[in-house]
Amino acid sequence: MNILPTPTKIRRNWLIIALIIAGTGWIVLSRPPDTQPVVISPRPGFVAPAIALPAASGETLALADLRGQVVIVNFWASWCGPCRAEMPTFERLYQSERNRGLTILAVNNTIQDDETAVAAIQREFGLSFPIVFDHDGEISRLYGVRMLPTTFIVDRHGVIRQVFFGGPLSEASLRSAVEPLLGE
Amino acid sequence: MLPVLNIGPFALYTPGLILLLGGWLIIQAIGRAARHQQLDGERLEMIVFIALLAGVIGARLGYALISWPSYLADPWALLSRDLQAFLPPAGVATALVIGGWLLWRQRWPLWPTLDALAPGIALAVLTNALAQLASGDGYGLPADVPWAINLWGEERHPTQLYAALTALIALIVWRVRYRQLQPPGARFLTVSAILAAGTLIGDGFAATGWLLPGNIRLSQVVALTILVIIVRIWTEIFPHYDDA
Repeated sequence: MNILPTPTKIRRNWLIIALIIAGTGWIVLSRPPDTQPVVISPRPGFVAPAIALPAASGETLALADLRGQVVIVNFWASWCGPCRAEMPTFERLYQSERNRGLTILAVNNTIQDDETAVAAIQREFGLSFPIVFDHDGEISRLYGVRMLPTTFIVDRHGVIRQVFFGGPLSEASLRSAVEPLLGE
Repeated sequence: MLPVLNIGPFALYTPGLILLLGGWLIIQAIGRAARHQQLDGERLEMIVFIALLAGVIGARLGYALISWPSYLADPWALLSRDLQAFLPPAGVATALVIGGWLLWRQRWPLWPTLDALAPGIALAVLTNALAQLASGDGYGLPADVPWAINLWGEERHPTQLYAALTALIALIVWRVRYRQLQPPGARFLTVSAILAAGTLIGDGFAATGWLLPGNIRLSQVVALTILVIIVRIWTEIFPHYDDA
């Protein structure tokens, strides 16, 4: 009975040798280049798009100025329940890890919010990390934010390492994301 | 690329939806294939369901291990809704170990069971490829081929589609030969060989994934190893089909 044609052992051995040579050759040929061009994009593995927005004091804060620190960029709004719920978590994390080089940049989606409501939340939760205002929504568009909150973890070199869609985030999840970066 | 799907006031995490739908399809396909193999389809469906569930738990525990003191201080965070707080390789390993252990403990016949699992494996690859296409993960190297897709202002190889195409070919071959008389294990090995060959070729255009020293891509080495093993064991496990 010959249901499926199978190679003889000699043919099989030749097939294996040919497979190893061709496969190894392709693996070597298709190796990715050592250095890839720096691409700016709002996703893990790419350089974070620039942020330069005004804070409540009127001073402009830029993400580039925070280079050398691990930055949690959090897009939020005061009317967003999960955003409000995770603010105390961010504050605790900021207080405990700021000396190790962690900072939080809270980007308020001001095009759908107002600065008075933001100030009220800042007082209510005693938030001490920087909050900046995206008045025209340009930075949110640049980061492709389609839901609030959305949180980007940026390493000391300005590269996005993780993105969290939705919330509220647990402190443990955030620590898992930033702990390896703080040690780099 | 559509990581978040907005439906009215609701924002849904698209890759999560795809994985959920894929999980359901995998269970259904394996159940049907098992019944075709004269196996207990419902029991195998349950085992696959438990393995997938174990995979989700394993992926969360793997993520928690990165910063275990934080999770030890707040164990409830293990149940949090953080959709990105998972470590997929840990999940895959857990699902394989738990599923394999259940099958071994219940003494399922090796090759017929693997044959029943074959469409599920191809569907798992298809699901992963589509979830990565939605999330934007697993993207390819910059390219100027006519079928390149524009990602973040740059033309790139659609490696997620290469993986999806490989899985579709494996499913089509499996379906075409569904009613043909084949020795036990042939369906599983055929599907595995197609998926391994597709990974070996397609991942040559990938920009993500684990690299070994010398920029050698781990997934390609694993795929080539699987292909060699399949060719090597094919004549060993089907010797009597050589008799003319």
